[in-house]
Amino acid sequence: MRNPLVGLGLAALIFGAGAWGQSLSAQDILAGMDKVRNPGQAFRLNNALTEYIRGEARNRVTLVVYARENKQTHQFDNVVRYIDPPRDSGKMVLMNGSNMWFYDPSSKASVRISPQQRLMGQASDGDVVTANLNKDYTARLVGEEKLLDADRQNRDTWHLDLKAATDEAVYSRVEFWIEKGTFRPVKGKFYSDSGRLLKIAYYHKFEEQLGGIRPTETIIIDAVDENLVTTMDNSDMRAQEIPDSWFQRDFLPRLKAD
Amino acid sequence: MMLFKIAFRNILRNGRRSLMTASAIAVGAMALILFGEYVGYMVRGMETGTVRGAGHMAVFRKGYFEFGNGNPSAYSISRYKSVMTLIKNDPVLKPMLTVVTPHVSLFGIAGNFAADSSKTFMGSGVVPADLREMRKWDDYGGFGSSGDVGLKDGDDTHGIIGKGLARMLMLCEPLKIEGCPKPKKTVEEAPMAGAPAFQFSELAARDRAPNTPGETTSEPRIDLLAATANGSPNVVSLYVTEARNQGAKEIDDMYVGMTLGLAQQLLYGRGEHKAVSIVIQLQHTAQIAVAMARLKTLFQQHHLDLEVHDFRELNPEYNQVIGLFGAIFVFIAVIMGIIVLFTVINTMSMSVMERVNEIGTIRAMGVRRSGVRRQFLVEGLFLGVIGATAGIVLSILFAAWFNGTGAQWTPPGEASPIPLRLLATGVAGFQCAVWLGLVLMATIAAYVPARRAAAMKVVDALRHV
Amino acid sequence: MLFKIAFRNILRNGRRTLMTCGAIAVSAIAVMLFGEYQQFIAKGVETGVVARVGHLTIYHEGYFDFGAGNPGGYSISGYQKVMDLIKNDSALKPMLRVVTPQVSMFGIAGSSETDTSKTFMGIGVVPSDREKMIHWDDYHFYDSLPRSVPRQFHFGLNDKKTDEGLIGTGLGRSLGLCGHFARGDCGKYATDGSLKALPARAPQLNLLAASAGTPNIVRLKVTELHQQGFKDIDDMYVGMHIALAQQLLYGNEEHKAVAIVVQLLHTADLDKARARLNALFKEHHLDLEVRDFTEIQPAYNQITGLFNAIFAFISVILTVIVLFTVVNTMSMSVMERVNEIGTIRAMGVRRSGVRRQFLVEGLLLGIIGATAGVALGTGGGIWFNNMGLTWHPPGQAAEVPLLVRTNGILALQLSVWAALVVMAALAVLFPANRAARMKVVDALRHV
Repeated sequence: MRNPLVGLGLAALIFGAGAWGQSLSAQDILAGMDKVRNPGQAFRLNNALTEYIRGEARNRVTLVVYARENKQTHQFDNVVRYIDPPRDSGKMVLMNGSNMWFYDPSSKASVRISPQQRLMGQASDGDVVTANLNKDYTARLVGEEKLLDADRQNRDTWHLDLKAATDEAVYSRVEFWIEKGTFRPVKGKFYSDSGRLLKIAYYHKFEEQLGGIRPTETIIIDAVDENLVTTMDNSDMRAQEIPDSWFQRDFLPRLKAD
Repeated sequence: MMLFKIAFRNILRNGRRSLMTASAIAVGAMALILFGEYVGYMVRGMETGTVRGAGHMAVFRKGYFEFGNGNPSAYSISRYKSVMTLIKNDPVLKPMLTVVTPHVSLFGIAGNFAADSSKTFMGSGVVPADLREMRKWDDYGGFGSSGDVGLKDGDDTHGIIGKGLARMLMLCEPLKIEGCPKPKKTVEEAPMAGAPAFQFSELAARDRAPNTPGETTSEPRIDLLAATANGSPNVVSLYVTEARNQGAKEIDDMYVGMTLGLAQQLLYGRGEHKAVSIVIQLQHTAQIAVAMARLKTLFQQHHLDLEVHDFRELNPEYNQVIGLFGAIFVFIAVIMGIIVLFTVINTMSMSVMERVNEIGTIRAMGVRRSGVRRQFLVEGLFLGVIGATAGIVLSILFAAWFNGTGAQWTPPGEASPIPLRLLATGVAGFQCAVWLGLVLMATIAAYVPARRAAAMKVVDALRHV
Repeated sequence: MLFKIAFRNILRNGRRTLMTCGAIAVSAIAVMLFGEYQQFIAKGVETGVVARVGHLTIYHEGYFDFGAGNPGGYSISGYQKVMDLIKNDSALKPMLRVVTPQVSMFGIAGSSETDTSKTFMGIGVVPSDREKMIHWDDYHFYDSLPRSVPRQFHFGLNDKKTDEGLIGTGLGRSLGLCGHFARGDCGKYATDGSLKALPARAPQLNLLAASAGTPNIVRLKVTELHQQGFKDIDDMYVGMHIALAQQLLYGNEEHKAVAIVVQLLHTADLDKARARLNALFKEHHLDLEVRDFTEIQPAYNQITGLFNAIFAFISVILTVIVLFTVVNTMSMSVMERVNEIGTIRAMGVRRSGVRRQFLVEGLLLGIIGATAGVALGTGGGIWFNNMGLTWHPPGQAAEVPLLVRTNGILALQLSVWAALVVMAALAVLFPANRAARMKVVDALRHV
């Protein structure tokens, strides 16, 4: 799979906590969208990542994601467990702040992967994405626009331009189109530090999930390698208390999936 | 004085023998000198090539040499410009410097995604004007210039790549490289059954950037991906003007040469643009020790967390090759020395033996044994001087001629042939050493037969045939 | 009669004979030693390379040009069958010495104790095969070594201990593992370039590698730090058992091989073997390509090219010197006997007779001198080898014995011998001719 970990990072993108305010500043709109994507409590869900190359499905991975807000950074730490395909079953990825650990049950060993190493090999592996856009980005309202969503439906949207406000922000600039009134994300464009467009995300298939109407499928179009498109499908999002120990590297061998 | 006069006359008198002996010495001198100049040229050539490309030394953040491999952003030099100013303005260092320039090296993935190919690359970000200046270094003289850098100041969008990398990224045609293999399709997994077919092409097309006017689509372009220090994925475009052979295959398969500005953009992103190293080139290689000591003092004084390494530490293979040359040279010199020694002893003995009558005669006239010995020693000395001098002069002439023929060779690790020459400048010390050595050898070589001649009984000597 | 007189003349002019033969012999010794040295360098470097990487390496088609970053995508499926095919082929069988599989990959190595992780380059091999390969000595260099000179063969892995391996010293240092090894500063090495782990303290390394899919991790017990020749490799190298490498690269899927390494008995068979392999693969419709060791180790050609250039230059110089020495000595000895020449001419010997006489003498002297020289040159080489000197070939970390080649140099010995005999004969001809042409009267009173 060309982007095995990118999807995981972007799973985190979707599940972030946010604040909800009354007056509609650009920052408020952003916070509103954060809330749509994110249940505001610790949770687990199933995630199916499918990779399409030149339009043909080439790879699918099924994961269980456990996410919980980190009290200090207000970002979501993730523990991800592979379910499918069988050869990868039981492998885990821990994302704890900017650290990423990979765990393999057949050797019961884990290796830390630095941000530089995530680019190693053929894939541009997982970027740890700020789940909480509101915290890490400064928003500016560009205007109101009509936009075609992923299902070719017209949506009335706020067009926000986000600039990185902290060092932890993964992308230096992000554009978002958020549906007026519902605060649902329709489309996002993510830019690198050099100003190049890296990814385009479309959000759709909104369904009831853990106390809100949330996007259950995200389509991620790679803007650098134009042959590559990834889809992420979430299901079975449930609240779950996740103990601190689960986010320790040494605990990974003992972690039992549900 | 008499001694020298007589010795000189004797030499002239025995014209043929003197010629033989002196020419033996001359040939020996020539051989040693020419060989030494050959090796010397190679060594100097290697040094010049290295110093032109990588300077004499480089300053790094402390710990880079041991731990920084593969992680340049964590071991970068902050506020490198002020460090450079500090170095350039230091009164001790100033007169020794030729170039002080920042450098960024980084790793990432280079992709030609239109052709579905990508490869890990190693990037080198330089200031083109400084590199051009460094390539003029010619402390030993006679090495000409190193050719164009391939990058333009102020143009961060263009760069060069290794030929091996060009092949792997399927850029053979646009860059006009020969010998490109045609890739066979790798075994691709069959598309998954039951996966929802979704029309992505329409979706993706909405944001596809149209070709901006003025962008020449004929110029090959690659994407360079790397992670910045805080973990953000970053990507820049590079228009490839040229593919250049980098010499060693491992480097040729990975090399991307770009401007400092582009490298910094890619590696540091929106963070502080630092440098991975500061490269320093001096007027003379001999100044390295003083310069390094001064830099260390300077860094301590200003509480800077920096370390400095010279080009030999950074290039351990360099020392190996130099050591190898040294070993070969010593071995060969020993063999040649033995031959020369033997030849001289041989010819001197023969000429002594030919003159036994003569020796008997002068002994009969009253010259002491010691006088005979001294006579021959001086003759040996003279012959040595004449022979060695002739040898040196001839070697100078030969070297001048040879260097004019324009012969070429390709050193290991280099991409293209360079002139093959004999070192002709700065060899005076070496020539003197050879001269002295041979004169000494000739004198000693004359001693043994001289003693033997002197020890003869006068009566026997007189009637020797 | 001619030979009798020539022989007697030689004996009579004892001193001159000794001088002349001596000159020829010394020249022969010099050329011999140089030739032996050159042979050692040429064949020695080849031996070093072939011992480590074999003669031919078989890859999945396209791997060499494109697959270096994606070994999983360019692996050889069913490699055991391919190996059997090769080993049983009647044309190849007599040429083969070792046929062994190999797996290589790039990945991330993490120390379980510290948080550090570094990119690594790993190679998985069959240890016993490698041990056999490294003893390749077709040019018999190591036969001539006395017992006292230690043989520097060392591979450091064990067939049974699949979880043990070695890493480059630079990698060990940057992962902070030096404390586990004898002489804990990683600064000094045993003469073969290795540092062994102190018992019970072998550090654990976790290796992660990604091929096309989700990565796998394996555990490696590092029993040794082994200095590699090039710093860039030394900073990344991990050597392990092939079973562990396969587990790392392929996980629970089919364990393939990235390369099949073939070592032959003789380098001379290389082209034949390669042709046969290509034909075999075509016959069986196998998507495989064959590369030889000069392609695997491009530095080899560069190094041999460098040495050839140096030696060519030296040969020219040596030839000139030897020529000069022999000619000089021979003509001097002739010139000393001008009286004698005058005398025998006065007695009635023709010019041609004089020339013939000296030619035969020259030949005899040449034969004696050349034989002595060649013998002494060979003996001198053997003596030199016994001195136990070492050197540092480029690209190797450890010291290797510095030898001259004293086996299998028959061609060298014969050619040196023949050349010097001819040179001696010719060298005598011209002065003899000149002396013969002198007016008898002048010759008689020559001093």
